[in-house]
Amino acid sequence: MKHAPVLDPVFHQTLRTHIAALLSVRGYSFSELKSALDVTDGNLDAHLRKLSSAGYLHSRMILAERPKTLYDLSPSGKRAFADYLVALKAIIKIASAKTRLARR
Amino acid sequence: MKTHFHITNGDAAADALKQSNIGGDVLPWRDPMVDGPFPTGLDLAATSRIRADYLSGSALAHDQVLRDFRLRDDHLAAAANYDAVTLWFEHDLLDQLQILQVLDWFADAEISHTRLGIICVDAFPGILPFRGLGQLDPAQIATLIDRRVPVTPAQLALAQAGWAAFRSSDPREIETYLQRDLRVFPFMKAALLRYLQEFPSASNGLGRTDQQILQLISDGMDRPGRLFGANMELETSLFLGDWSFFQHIHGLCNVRQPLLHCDPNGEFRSPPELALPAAEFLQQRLSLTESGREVLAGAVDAAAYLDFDYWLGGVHIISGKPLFRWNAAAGKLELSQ
Repeated sequence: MKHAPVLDPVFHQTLRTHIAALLSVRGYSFSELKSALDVTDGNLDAHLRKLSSAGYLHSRMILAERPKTLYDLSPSGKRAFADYLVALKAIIKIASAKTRLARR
Repeated sequence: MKTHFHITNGDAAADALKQSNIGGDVLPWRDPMVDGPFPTGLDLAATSRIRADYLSGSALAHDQVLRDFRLRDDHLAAAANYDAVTLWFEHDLLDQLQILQVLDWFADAEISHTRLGIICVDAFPGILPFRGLGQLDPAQIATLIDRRVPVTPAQLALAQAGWAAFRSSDPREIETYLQRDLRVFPFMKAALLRYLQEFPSASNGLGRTDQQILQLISDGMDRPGRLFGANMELETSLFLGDWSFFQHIHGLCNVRQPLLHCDPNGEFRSPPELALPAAEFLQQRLSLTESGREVLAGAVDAAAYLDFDYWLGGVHIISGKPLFRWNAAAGKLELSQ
């Protein structure tokens, strides 16, 4: 396919898409993410590391009663996730058009 | 290719950078540095595991601390993805050690397409006293971008040598390092000299911070919060956060033969280890014990009362083993049996 939309592989994984969707809105602690996504520590750890290895993760330590770290997407992560969504929509649009043609 | 990657000393400066108009991704280098082990010969990942083991405890769960170190190191490893990396640091001891550690890593990193630069300042107009970048608001910190200079090969080589000296089990390697031409790191010499003063003194066995704490209490300052502030006033090369400072008080107070007494409980208690109400923490009053007065007067060596078991960089300071001590009069370390 010529000029097929490119999907960033860092976001093109079910759980990381969910994580990015949450972190693009606000900061989440590890335990908040864990309960929102219903995943194990090890699984969530691995996916956060994948995001961080791409430079897509920011963190901030909050000194509340107990210190905790909040994670959100870095500016480059936000840009890349927005690009990912645009590419995904483009693919869906192409697929929808082809499906409509096939049904005729 | 992304744009700009900023590495700085902690969350306050990182927050200011994130909110500034500079743009780019920001990584706070969270590590107290002058607190706990940095053994020699380990790569960054292995060092981070050691740091997590040391820094975790009742306040910070081990898995949380280790996770944050790993995420930090993962982000650092992404440096080659950026057009430019800028290190934002200040003159103090904490930051000079962070510069050594970060540049030691960059010295071996493959970042041929990334421009590496540094901003390191000891003053800012209108901020007096200037303690660090964390005092600056987003607009103020953004003005420092004009102070960015490229990191040179000479700086990378010197940083590797300095980081090796800091992690050596023989701290005299730092003294040897200080003989080198360090003008490319204008604040390094003063910072490392201050670091050496944390070794047990040749005159009474106290490191400089412990000496300052005992002296301040002897002068009538008895509240832990005020002691923290007053100790900071005595420093020109800061490195201690409140947690680390209160650990020093713990080490002088909550031991078999204490040099400090704490009212009303006898033992000093501090957050975040204990979920202690602020009023209860602030109520505490510290005073010298008879042993504390003897040590402060130089009549007895602190080693007679305290069981040393702590780390400074690559040096494990432990009772019963030969000790490196700081001889202030001679301005050098000496090894005592």
